[in-house]
Amino acid sequence: MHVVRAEPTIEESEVHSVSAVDYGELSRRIEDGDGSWVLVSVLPRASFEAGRIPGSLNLPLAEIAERAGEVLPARDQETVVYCASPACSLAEQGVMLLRALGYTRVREYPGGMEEWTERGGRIEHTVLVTRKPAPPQASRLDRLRQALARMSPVAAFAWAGNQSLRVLFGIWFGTGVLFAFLYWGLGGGGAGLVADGSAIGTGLSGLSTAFWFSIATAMTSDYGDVSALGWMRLAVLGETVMGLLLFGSLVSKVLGNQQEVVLNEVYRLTYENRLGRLRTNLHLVLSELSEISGDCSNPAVPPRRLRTRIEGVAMIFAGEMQAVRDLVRGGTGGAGAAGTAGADSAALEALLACVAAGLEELSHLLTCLPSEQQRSGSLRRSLRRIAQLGADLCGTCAALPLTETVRSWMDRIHRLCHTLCDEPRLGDPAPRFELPGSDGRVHRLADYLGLQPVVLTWFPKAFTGG
Amino acid sequence: MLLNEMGIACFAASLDKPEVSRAFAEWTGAGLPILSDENGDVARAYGTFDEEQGVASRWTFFIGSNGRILLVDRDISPTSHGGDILARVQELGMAA
Repeated sequence: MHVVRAEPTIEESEVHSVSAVDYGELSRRIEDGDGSWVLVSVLPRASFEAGRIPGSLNLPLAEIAERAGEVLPARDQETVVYCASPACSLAEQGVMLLRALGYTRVREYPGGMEEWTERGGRIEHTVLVTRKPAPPQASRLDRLRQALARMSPVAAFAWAGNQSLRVLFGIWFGTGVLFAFLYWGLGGGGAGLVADGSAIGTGLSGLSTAFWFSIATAMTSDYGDVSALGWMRLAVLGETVMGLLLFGSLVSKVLGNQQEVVLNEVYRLTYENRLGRLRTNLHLVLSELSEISGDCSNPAVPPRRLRTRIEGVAMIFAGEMQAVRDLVRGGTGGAGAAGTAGADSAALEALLACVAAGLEELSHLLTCLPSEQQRSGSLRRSLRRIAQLGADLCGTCAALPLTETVRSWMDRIHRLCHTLCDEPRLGDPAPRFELPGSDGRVHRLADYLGLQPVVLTWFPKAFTGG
Repeated sequence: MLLNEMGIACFAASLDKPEVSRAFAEWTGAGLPILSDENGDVARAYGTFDEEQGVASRWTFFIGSNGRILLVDRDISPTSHGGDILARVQELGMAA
């Protein structure tokens, strides 16, 4: 907008001239601790909690319009407002807003947190997490417990569960081979493997016996044909424990993989089932739409009846589009397109084509209703929902592994949704308004009809950055 | 050139209370009146009411002197607001 600063009136400039509070005055008054005035930070809550001038209240700028009365009940109490630094404009906006809301004695501390800190002012924080100081013995015990937990069988199983099938098998087999060489090579002196009543030899047949025994142990099985003597028994025990861990994980991994295959199959079937059901429903919507379309040109059908039918079909259509959206984006049920990438893109394409055809039919239908009737509550809600869902389906923003055709259909749906809800439509008479303006006058569109063009620009909220 | 000087009545509008709009107009020094549609009825009629957020969407309506909507701009950025509006006004040949 073109900026034209109005010259302040005399009374305004009087109010403004006493508005600033400097560091000296502020710190003195805080020291004195008199309760006749109140200090307010208009910074967002997080900044306020991270550090503030002692004794301040928090009223973020964006909340002033709603919460001023609750935080600052007395409108005639002296109020000093500040924000982050001299460069921050929030305090100035806060002062203006508070004055507009009827607070008569609002002043600003322009230096803000920055000047306050630089000049050595005390800072107050909100302690968000209060940590209980633990006695030193307990903490050492905790550390020991943690270390043990890291080495526990549970942790080992968790680690093994995260390895791939190939890695697990490699480690397991490697362990078996390693122990085989140990049994074979380090025997002697009362320790070693015994088969058929005598120690296994150092030859090749001895190695093969050790290998057989070691792999069987790693599989946690014992056939009783070979036994260990002396300290070798300890090694066997060690291998059994490792075998239990590794072989157990290996087996559960294989079973888990199979389960995953079955689950994927279930997902795929559910997905196809949903796809099929949706297609049927959309076909019903389409046929209803084309039937209404036929009535549209029939003067015998009253517009009221037509409107009710369009409202009904739009509502159902919105519901079906929600299902399509969920299916495409995997919103619910876990059987989304992302999980079954490319599995059924042809079916998905057909589905999206149905949606696009429905939208086209619907937007055509809307043209046969007089425009005031188009904007009846229920229909408008449905159209809005359809437009939103269309935006969700939008191909360019959905990062899904979908084929190009599906993507282009989604774009088409998005565009059609957009035109559907283009309300009020171009060329329609603009809705009349009669509203109070910031200049103190009431403005009516009717005042300009036939005289001047009008530009009406809507914005979400004052004092929120635009 | 000011839109008002071009013979175009220009308004901003939001759902803020009149006193908030007044303070905002003073703060921004905006050369146009800010209208307060406190209960959102007009915003709803214009289709710019965002039900979820409870505020008006940033849409700009260009209305001819015959009272009909010439253009709805939904992409005007708050920073280059004035420039954008001026450009559209010239495109539409709205200036007298």
